Amino acid sequence: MNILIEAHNLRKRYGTVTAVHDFSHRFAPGKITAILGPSGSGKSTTLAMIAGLIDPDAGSLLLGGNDITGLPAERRDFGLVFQNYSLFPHLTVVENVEFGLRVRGVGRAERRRKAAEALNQVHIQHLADRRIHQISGGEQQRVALARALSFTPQLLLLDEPLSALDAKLREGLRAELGRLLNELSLTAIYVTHDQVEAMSLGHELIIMQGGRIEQAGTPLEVYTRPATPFVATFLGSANLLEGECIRSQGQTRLRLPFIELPVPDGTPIGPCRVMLRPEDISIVADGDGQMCGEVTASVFLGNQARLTVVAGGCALSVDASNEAIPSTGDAVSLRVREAKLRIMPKGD
Amino acid sequence: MLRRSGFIFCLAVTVALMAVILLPLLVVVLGSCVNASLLGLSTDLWSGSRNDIFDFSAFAYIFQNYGDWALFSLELALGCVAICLLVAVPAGYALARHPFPGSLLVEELVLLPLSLPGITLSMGLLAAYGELRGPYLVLAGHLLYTIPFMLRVVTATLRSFDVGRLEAAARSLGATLPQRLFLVILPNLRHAMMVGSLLVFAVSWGEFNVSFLLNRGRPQTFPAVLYDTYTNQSIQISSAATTIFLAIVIPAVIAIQWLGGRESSDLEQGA
Repeated sequence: MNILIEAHNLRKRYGTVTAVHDFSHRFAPGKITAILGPSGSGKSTTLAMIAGLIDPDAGSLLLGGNDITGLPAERRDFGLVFQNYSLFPHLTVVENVEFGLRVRGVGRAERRRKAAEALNQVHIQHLADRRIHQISGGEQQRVALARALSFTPQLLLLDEPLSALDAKLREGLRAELGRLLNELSLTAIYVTHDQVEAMSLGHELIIMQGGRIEQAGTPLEVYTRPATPFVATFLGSANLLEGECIRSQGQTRLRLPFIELPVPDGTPIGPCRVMLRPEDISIVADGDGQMCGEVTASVFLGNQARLTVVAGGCALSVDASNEAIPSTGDAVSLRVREAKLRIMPKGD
Repeated sequence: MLRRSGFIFCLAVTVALMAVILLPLLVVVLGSCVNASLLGLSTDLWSGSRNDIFDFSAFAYIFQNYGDWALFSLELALGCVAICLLVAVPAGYALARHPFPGSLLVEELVLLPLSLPGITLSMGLLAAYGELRGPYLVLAGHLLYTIPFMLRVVTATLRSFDVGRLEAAARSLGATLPQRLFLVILPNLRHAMMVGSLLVFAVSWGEFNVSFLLNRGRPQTFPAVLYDTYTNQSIQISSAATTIFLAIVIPAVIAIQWLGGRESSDLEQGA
């Protein structure tokens, strides 16, 4: 029962501030769409408009082609998992989980059976009779998930569901959540500011900033082919460089301050911005490099080190394997993986 | 050793303070039924039999002569509880859930009667609604003193668990407005409403100034029985009146303490 959800030009203003500008997207049925953005990017407001908790000032929301923009939240049949759990403190775990069924008039025996099923899905059936204050944060989030799943919602909305948990617990629950959502093949919208969560859980990624969609696509597309400098720097680390594409000797070439490289024909000629990820610059043996630089800083990250290398007057972030980490002050030869260069028109 | 002597010192201070507070009450309670000579009081003030150690005739006297006063006070206190539940709970919800510019000022204004002397409040009410002087104006006076208590307890509780968040969760689960009210909001306000009701009852039951000034004729409220008996009757009879007064108010105060403690511990546990 996966119905297409479409948002058309959803807009929300608070006083003079526009929190969301014309948000349009078709959410892939049966897939997880992660909305990623920094604080204040409008992602939670967008989710609240989809949930029906906030009325949009303009735009429409279609569910299976039917306009549900004015439909109140309680009649949308969407499951919602909140960042702070929002469990009912006066009810037990199982009473929380069966709440959605209770308000739908489902009989006690049937709702107990369905609630037990939902608790089983998130592996907390043994906590059914506990009070909410008697269980941990991770367990509370599982209850919130079971509660949202118990009435088989048409769409599952998750608003930063793991951000209140500590790092280790978050990692474990993230993997479990991904497995469960994929098993259920439920259409889900997952709002987060955590790029690892967004990339690992989302089949599709929407990057938002300043209330606008910066880019939408698969995580791989967005990571490898960022549409804007913001996306390039927000998702992972990136060197953003000023460059120029020129025609020289029948070839299109990219001129950077420290190197000149051939690029595919058809690349627009003129000033441009270039994104180069730290992992796409390699430290190579002397003589194999395309350029030289001097290491000015080094941060050890365990499996690798993040170096700052100054080449041609530019400070570049470069990843080095932990097997051979150059020291500060060392001269190194660098090689760029040309296929990974991302050239963006200047002015974006 | 130092910790033990510190504990003994604290215990001694606590017991001494309790004695200072409770002894007069104990004397009053005993004075209502124990022969005055046993308490070291002048037997002239003892209205019971000279030979009996215990004598409960003073209670019978109070019930006989002031029973309707006690009933009026109880009706007034229960009426205040009912009206506060009907008025202050929705008002507290509105103020906590949908604040507007100036809503904090409204909350403070509602508290204002608590800082006014009873005579000022009474004169104000008489000037405005003098023709209503009698039980209904007494009820109005009591409400001015009791609504702030219920309102404060309700708004503080609603803010402590962010009712908006729970309502949003209930809406997302399909709960209509009446379902949200009866399945989420009111159950979470149960403690607050119980504590508020007991506070309102205790304040109304013990109110004297406003009741005395706004009422017309008899019956008066029960604190007026204390005034009447202490000025006109024997110590035994006035002690019996005081004992009845305490027997009503002390359980309410203990229940407030107990419920208040339970509520705060529930909230501290992250419920």
